[in-house]
Amino acid sequence: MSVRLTLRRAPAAPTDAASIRPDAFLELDEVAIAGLPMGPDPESPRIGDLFDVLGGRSDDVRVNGDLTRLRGLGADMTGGTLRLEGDAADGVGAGMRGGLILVHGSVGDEAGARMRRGSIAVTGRAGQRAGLQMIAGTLLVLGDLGRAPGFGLKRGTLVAGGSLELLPTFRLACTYRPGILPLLFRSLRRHGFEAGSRLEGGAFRRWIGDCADLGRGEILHGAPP
Amino acid sequence: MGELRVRGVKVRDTFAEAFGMRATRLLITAASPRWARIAGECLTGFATSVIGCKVEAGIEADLPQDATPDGRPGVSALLFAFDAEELKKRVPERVGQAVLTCATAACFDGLPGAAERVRVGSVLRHFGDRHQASKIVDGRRYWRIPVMEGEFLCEESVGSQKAIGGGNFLILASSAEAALAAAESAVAVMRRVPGVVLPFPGGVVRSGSKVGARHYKKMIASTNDAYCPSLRGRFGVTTELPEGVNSVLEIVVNGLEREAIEAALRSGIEAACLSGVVEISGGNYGGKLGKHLFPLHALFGAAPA
Repeated sequence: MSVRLTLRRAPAAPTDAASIRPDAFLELDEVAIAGLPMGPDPESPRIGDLFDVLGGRSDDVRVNGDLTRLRGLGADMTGGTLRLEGDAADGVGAGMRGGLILVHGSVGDEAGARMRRGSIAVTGRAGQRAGLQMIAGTLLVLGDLGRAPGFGLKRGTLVAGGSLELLPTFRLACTYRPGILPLLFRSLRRHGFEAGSRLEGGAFRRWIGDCADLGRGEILHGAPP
Repeated sequence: MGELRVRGVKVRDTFAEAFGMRATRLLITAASPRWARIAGECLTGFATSVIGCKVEAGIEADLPQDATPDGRPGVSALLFAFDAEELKKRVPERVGQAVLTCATAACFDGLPGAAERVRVGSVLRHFGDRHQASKIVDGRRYWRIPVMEGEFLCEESVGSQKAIGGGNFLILASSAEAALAAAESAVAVMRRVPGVVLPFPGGVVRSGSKVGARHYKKMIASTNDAYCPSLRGRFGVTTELPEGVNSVLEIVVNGLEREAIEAALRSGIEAACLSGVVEISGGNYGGKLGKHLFPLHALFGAAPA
């Protein structure tokens, strides 16, 4: 059993979509999910105003469509699986405390900001400040990262497959093969997310940071082919 | 009392006596099969009998890379202790000394479904002196402990379960050479049975014991004089050996489940019945040692006496 949300039409203006989080759907049927406000503002549109909702009472949620005007998808989620089939806007998984977000597409700015636990995996690119002030957890981006990745990173892991421009407050530790990554890649593959043989077989540069903050986090940058 | 012969060799109508233990399964991976073996052999070294080693252990199987959690070659090891408390002390000790130290090795839980847990990574993480970090993947926590080589990856805890130690049989042979050849033949097939290990050197014990000692009060176990060919006829010794037996070797098998031990004993006895073997018997202590009895005849479908 799963929940499938299919976007009928993209909203005209950027819209808070923080209600779309799998853990919140676990006890709700199709009608109840469609009736939820999209964001914390009770005046905000209902999920059913923008999406066709199929299924309920599940924390395995798939969202299809052009999501580039929907902010905060999966924000603060504590568990479950959220699959985004399409590009998403800012704040994907911000503050998340558990579960898994898989994005088949690109994400906007500040993906995974202040997340504490759980994993986010993105096939495409990420905007600015990916992993902003991340407390723990894992954010994997196969494509390029925008400016200031890991800004204020405390703990946690940013895995970068594409190009990135590092802040001067990140320090190169070494190039190696972290033993945990094969476990992460295998887990993602079981969920239908392929990291690709270049990353799966390759070495990573480990950057320690953000040294302007706690500095116990890391950016693992896949060595270019 | 019916007589049972396997490939012409008499199997005595007796039972092997085994005892309850607590066990865990560890999956050890490394950069190559060779290094996985090295880690596994170190981890399960000096682990023949709980009497002196606190742990009985062995390598259960070599694991191809598609059968391990991280996709590298590995081994699965079974470790047995007298009880859960003892296991909790010994597993982190052994992993800390034998796997953490071993080039390229990592350590994973081989009994993930077990409710009873033995902490491993959550103890060994302290080696990281606060530079360690953990990751949760699919609900399981792994510790990344920085070491000079790179990182030692160790699962937070491993499962433990009730198990059985001391399943056995005795090979009564006409010569030491025949006993050894039969024992090697048995070990080769028994090592292919899942869920068991043969903790003694090469899978074989030459020094079967009786409980306690007649003359030394401190001894927990002492030589099984009734099965020592060199003591036949000596005052105070009632031999259990038939005519023509000049050497005896024992195979001891520990297992996670009774059925696995039975399968190992059955295939081992069949493989041991070679020329020069006079009789197969079982090591029992008259019920003094343990509650798990394996009547040898029942292994072959015959009703026990």
